[in-house]
Amino acid sequence: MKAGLIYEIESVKPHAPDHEYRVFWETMEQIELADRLGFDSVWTVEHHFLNEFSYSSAPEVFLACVTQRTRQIRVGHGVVVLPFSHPVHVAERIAVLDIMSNGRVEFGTGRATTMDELLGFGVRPEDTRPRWAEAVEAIPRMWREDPFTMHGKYWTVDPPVSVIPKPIQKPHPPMWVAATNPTTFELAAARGLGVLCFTLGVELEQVSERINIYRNAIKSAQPVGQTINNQVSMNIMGVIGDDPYECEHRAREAVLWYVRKGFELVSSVAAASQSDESYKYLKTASKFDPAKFTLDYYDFLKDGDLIAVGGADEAVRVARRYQELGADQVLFFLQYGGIPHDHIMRSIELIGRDALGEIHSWQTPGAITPAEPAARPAAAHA
Amino acid sequence: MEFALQYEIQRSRPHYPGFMYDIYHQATEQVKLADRLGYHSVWTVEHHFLSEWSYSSAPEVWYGALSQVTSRIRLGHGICLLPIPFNHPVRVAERIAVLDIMSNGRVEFGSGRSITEQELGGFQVNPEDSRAMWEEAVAAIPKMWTQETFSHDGKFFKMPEREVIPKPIQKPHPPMWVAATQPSTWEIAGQKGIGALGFGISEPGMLDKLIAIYKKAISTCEPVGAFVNDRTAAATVCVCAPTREEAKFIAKDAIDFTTRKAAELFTPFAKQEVKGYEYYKKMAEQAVAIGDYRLSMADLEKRIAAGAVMVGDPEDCLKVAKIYESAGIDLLLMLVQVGAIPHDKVMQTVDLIGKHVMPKLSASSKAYQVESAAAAAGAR
Repeated sequence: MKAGLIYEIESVKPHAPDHEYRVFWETMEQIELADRLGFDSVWTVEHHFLNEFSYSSAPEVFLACVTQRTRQIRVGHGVVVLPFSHPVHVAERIAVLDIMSNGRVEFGTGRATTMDELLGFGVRPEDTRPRWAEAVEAIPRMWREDPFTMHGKYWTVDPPVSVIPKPIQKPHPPMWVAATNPTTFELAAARGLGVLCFTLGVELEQVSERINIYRNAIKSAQPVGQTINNQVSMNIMGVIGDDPYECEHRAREAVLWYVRKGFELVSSVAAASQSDESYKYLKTASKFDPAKFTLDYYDFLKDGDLIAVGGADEAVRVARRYQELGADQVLFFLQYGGIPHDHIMRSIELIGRDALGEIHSWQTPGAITPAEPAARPAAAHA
Repeated sequence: MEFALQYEIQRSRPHYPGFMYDIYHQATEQVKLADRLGYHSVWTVEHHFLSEWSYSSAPEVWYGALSQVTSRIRLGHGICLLPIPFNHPVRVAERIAVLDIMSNGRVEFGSGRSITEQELGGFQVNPEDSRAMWEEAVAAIPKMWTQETFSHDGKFFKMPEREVIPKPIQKPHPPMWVAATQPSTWEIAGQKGIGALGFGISEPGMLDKLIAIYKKAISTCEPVGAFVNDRTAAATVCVCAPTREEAKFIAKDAIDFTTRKAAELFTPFAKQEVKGYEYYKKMAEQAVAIGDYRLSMADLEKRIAAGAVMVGDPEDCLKVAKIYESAGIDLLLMLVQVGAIPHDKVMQTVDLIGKHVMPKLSASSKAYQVESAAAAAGAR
């Protein structure tokens, strides 16, 4: 099983004048440590306008920075919001990132789930899924077809163009989609895409059902790319440390901050998109009530193994649960709700030292992605 | 005058497998050398679909990488395309801010509207709208950086009140520039109080007129940003070698390629009237004559003598640089990776200019030398 990190790049109020600068550079330091310790990947979200919740509004720039400060860790978009960028420009960015990272890119895609973002970019909720579908089908074609044209509902590229440069992973970087609701698991499988489960708060039995749906459906995939990325990734929100009491104390506050904020943000879409079935799964969140997220809710998360709080053994135990459910990869989510940098560094150190080896030893059902870095020619041809 | 590298990320045919990887990593090595030698800045275009001419379709990504392997050189978008189908203005503001954070405040923000039919057509931009789209975005972006919240109700984009985050760390915001080819754009740059990045300068003799237009306009400007960036830059091909003969030998094919390819790419709408692009129609009429043109050694020597290209030994290059300096240019953008000039020869240009030309003209380079000497003395 693979293990990585995932980031929102959060900064909780009260804010120091240089808080944005600090959170970016602290995140970088954490990733450099994870790279040295052998974590498989680091992923960052793309969110816009979500003060406190995420400063990762230009992950293509930050991940490019990461490529030069790390050697082996893979760099993942978790995810690129396809309705907000021209698909040609997304294909180009992924290619340049692949070149600069020596073939370490994981290309996750999605459609946005907050009204703050959708209205900010003038995208209607009912258009997000068809926009995503159009772009996710077009982008791998841009990498293999030269000249390229498309005649979609949202984007037209004609006369024919050469989309350049090309990624160096052949046939192309692994492709994924962020999934919360069961329909997206089916859409992912049908397209041969890996799933990045963003299912915080969903009980594991239900997640298991969704994974089963995915594994069955992917047998008859019509892949959009040149690979079938039959992989399931699950996030583990956690606080890992030396002192279980300290971890528990930090987790209660930070986890509850995060779920309150997160549900408040996503509930806006469900509330606003009465006409759109595709966001219906968020309807329960639309009855958002901050009072619901009390310590009882925290206990529900913890008792259900939906978070990992404690020593490295706890990280191993929860990861094992997810492996048993059928996940191929876990992404530790450690930076949220105001947990301080030095504690996150310690979490990464402990997971790297005491959990990674065991997690790496487990077999998983997913197909190893066939994309491999191209043989690199010598830097100079002189 | 300061010295900068300007990149297209270019490679003329014949191509070999892996050449795109090579030119990115070679350009990165060249910029690292320029950083050590005290160059003021490195600038990169944003072009799409222009095989051979430019592989720099996502400069924001390359810059992220450069920011981590350099420490003092400034990173300039020369330029970022602002019509919305290329880039939403919010996304541009965000990317520049993250780059500013990760480069410790080294971003220069140049923008433009695109002048090739391939790019405008590929992204379905109505060419008659491109300038108005640029104007709307270039006025909005500095507000996104300096205001806590931003809302907009324009012709080409609308948005409700939002916090555009993060913010750049240069205060009030990174310096702003615009790509200027035709005289009217030099004037617009002045009127908006932003720097002019002069491209398509066929000879420095034309600069006097362009700079006069710019200076006149900027004296009564209404700045789009929070400050006036009263600076001009000019781009020229540069090949420097220990001997004039070697430099000419290296440069000839590359300049032949750029001359013919530029005539093909940058003379859009030659066969139709498109508002805002009339200037290029005139250029196209001249370029038609290029046809089967091949640069002769005599032509190259004429162009060197006119200062149209900076080719020769360090003394020759210094002479050309002085022409630009005396014209009043603040920043010389040197296109060093052109045609198929091999990496080691580009490194040679960067090295020779940095060591033998820059110190004679560049204030920051002198300061850097003093600093290095002091550091060396301290180390002893």
